[in-house]
Amino acid sequence: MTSNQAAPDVRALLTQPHLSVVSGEPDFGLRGIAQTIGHPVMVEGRIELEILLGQLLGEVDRGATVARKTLDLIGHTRTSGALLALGDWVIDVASPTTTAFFRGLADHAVLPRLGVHAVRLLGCNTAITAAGRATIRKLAEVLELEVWGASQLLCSAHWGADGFRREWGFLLAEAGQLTAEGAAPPSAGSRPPAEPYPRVLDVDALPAIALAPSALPRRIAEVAEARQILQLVRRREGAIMPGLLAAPSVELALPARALGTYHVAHVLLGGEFLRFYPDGMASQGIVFPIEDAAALRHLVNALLPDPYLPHVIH
Amino acid sequence: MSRLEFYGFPAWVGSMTSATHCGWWGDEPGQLNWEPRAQIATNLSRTPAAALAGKIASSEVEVDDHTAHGGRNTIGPLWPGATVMGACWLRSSVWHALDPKHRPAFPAPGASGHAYEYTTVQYLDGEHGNRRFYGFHARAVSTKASLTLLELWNPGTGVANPRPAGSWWLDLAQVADPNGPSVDPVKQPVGPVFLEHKAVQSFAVLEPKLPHYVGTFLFPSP
Repeated sequence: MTSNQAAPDVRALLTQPHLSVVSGEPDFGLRGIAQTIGHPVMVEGRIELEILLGQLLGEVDRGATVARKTLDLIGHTRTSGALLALGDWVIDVASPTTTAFFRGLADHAVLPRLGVHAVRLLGCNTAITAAGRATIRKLAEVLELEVWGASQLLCSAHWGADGFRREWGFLLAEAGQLTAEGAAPPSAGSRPPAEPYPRVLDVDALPAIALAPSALPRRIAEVAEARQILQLVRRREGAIMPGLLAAPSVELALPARALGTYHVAHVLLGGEFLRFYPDGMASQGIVFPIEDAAALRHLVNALLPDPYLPHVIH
Repeated sequence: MSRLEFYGFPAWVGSMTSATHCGWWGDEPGQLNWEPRAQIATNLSRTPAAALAGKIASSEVEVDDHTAHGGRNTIGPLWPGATVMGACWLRSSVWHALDPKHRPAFPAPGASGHAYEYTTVQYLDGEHGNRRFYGFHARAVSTKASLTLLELWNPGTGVANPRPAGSWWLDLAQVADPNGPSVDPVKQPVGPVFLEHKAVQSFAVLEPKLPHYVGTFLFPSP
């Protein structure tokens, strides 16, 4: 449960017609819904949901009264496939972790023991896209329960003190009503998610690779030279540099710990920046500024070229 | 030079009087007692695309284009049968001219972002003809050469969320609105910046949530 929320009365949750679990992300809309509901629980991800269900089972084992209820997972649909997110957890059956979580619940009959007869994914349009429909149908198959999603937008007016209000039930669709078709999710293209804050360069975490033929001029550094180059890097200011500006002029091979392997970096904008690949060579790369571009150019021009042809950067 | 600003509002369509004319509420209709006079009359065909095509004068533009046509509106664009709950990006001058008694607040009550995060700038002619800029909440971390290291928030999250969506090295002279506010690591490290649509397309950032409970989607890919 989120740190800024009082611990819920777990035993009371078992007697409600809806177990309303609200995504605990920083969002005024979701907080408003949580304030409307009499007995909400806010969670920031799958682990917290698991803990909550464990606490409820403990109360059941101690003889608590259990009412028939729905498990309502309430959050925003954060992805292009309109998949529901609880905190940082996107409920997507394409993820083995997510599927395994629900299969674990089914294997131990967790939800039936808590009186849950249906699971509802209450986020906008969760039953609209192909990915959303696939998730709803798969959860119904795994859990052997009714699973519902929303076929339209949902808003705070749809909730009352007891949870999702019965009169708005027409906005929901059950797994059995859903076909495989759905609106195709808008493409995210090739854009990778960015890190929220500037990256820090950790040389030991860089991939160490054997050199293959390169389309770029390449320079190979010895250990001492690599150290001098790395001392020029402003290591706490790494980020993606989108667009044509990011075209490299020279490839640097810096020796790694294992014999015959190297950390690769690309020289950008005449030595003003170096791009490293902490997330793998197939990734977009993270760009770090150089304290003294002229000093970097001087060092690079003094390095051994590969394949022994002189390359000068300007 | 025609530089238009559009403000993003949540929109609930309450009436349709032609294929492109409608009236919409800027708040949940129940909150407004379903008051017909509180509806904002809009012709969804009076858009930047229509002005750029020479169909209307730039002074006649009322509203942004639909997302299907390169804009940010999600209501409409043609009645009947189109989306009746979504976002309407209204020209700022049109919003200012509304009857103050029924003019919706901007940004909408409960918004998780600053007003500039719900603002689009569109040029229609001159040296910046047909350039579009989207408002972001930003923090300038440092600079190097002509580039600035920016932390950017998903539009519409700059107030509620302390965590930026991502960090990027950008050449603001190339991709920021030359007539808009900007950020600088020394003088103005935190605040608004308006980034060109083409640059934004290469980021993994989300469209503002209008209405605020709607699911979010990535900006359209190039």
